[in-house]
Amino acid sequence: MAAAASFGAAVGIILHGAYSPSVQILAFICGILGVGCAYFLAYTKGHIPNTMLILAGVVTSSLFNAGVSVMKYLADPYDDLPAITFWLMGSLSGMRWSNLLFAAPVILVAMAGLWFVSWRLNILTMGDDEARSLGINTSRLKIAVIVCATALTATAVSQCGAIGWIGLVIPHMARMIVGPDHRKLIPTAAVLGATFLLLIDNLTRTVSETSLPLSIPIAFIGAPVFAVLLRRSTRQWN
Amino acid sequence: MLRGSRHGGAAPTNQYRADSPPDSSPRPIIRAEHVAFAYTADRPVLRDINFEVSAGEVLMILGSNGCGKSTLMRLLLNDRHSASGRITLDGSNLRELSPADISRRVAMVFQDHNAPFPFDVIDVVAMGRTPYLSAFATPRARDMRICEDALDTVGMTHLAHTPYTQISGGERQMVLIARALAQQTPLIMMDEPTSHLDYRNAAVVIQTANRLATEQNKAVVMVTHLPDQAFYYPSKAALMKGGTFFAVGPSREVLTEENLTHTYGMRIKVLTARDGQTGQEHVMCKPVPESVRP
Repeated sequence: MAAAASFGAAVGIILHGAYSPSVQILAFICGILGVGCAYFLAYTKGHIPNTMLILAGVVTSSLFNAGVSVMKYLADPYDDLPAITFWLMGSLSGMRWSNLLFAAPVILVAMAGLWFVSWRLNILTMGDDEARSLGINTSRLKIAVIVCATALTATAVSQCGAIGWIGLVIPHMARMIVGPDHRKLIPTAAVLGATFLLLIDNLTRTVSETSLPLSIPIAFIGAPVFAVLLRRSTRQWN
Repeated sequence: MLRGSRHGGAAPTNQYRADSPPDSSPRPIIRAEHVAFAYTADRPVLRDINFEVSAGEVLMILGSNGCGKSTLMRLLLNDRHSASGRITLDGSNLRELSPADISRRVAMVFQDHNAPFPFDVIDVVAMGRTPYLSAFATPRARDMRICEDALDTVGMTHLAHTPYTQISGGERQMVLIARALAQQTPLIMMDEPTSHLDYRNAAVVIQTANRLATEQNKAVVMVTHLPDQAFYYPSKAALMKGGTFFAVGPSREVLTEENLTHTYGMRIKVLTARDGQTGQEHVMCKPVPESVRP
């Protein structure tokens, strides 16, 4: 997903320069395209096995990563290449109020969609067979969740570049605070993620003259936090 | 000659409900007629399976590993459109039911159960209310009361707010039975519910299954590896071999030495012991492998 969006952004930067709106549009479209590819690869006999989906995601993202490398290789090294590199590291510096016009509705609708199915998401964590025995159409639910999650991620990535770690660390943190129930987990993770991002952004703006690409401080903080959570959770869940 | 087969002769009528008199024998909850299934055309997994379980009855399905017991259970979930024959669930043809319809008629208790997240026990039970909720809804106070009753029935009320990942295997099995109760279905199917349990818990689960039949008038279908369990309480038994039932009927008629020996491919003795104090008779069986026979 992020790899596909990055590829779209890289293409946009090379074609129209770093500040054209086509960067965001192409990132959004390619992001959705990437998820579509992974989904199509994983689809077997009317079902979407989870392991297949993960593997298909790995395959798709490595393909798009190669695409990003090609774009970097082809890019003008004085102008476009730094732009691509900075975009890949993520930044909020390009944000204006007008960005919200597109981003806010998509994000709000997709988030509400996820929150509405949060009870069924709880059951899906128990496994496909069980969810089906409780009358849930697992394929349809997975499609709904993937569509919402894709819309959310594609929008966020198209606006501020690929900022890793938050999506990995924050849900775990939220789960430690409010427990595994998605009815509480989804709103908590959303608020926590946004707060964390803004905190880091403010911090980097205060510390450095020019705003540092956000991936860097987030990875420096996120990686140790995630390592600690991982150690603690393996103890808790085994 | 194998004894106890109930469906040998004429094909049963499909409209048993319409033309049966009002106060007839117990209502059949699940009825399978000539059910067959194959993943690939040349290798049939199930063939010509016929049985019927009524409200208040327990059916124990016995057979060696890989004979198709679990496939039969999963037929109701996944492969109902590719199976031939006819399965009737509480009066409706399985093929015409939606997944939600099925989940209001049959509850499943699985054996290999993975719970990655520490949901509270009461929330796990509440998942059993999902068939009655619209797609975007979550359980209400009324649903939670049903769940508390279900937990009470299996004697697990004290664990309601304990994380599901921190209770023992036996307790977990009881919680899953409570969830099946909360699902309020006429039929409960259990796939080897005692396979990971200790001696006592296994007995408790079998006892609970029988209580569900006698006290709550449920139809219970249970796959098990221990033929003894079919003797604990009066129940029906089905012996499965090579993808078909070769004997179905009351346990004591079906579970003969001859039939058990045929099912497991090993000599099995059926023993009767009389309790000296109460005079009650207990039936049990015991494998007698050739190599260790005295």
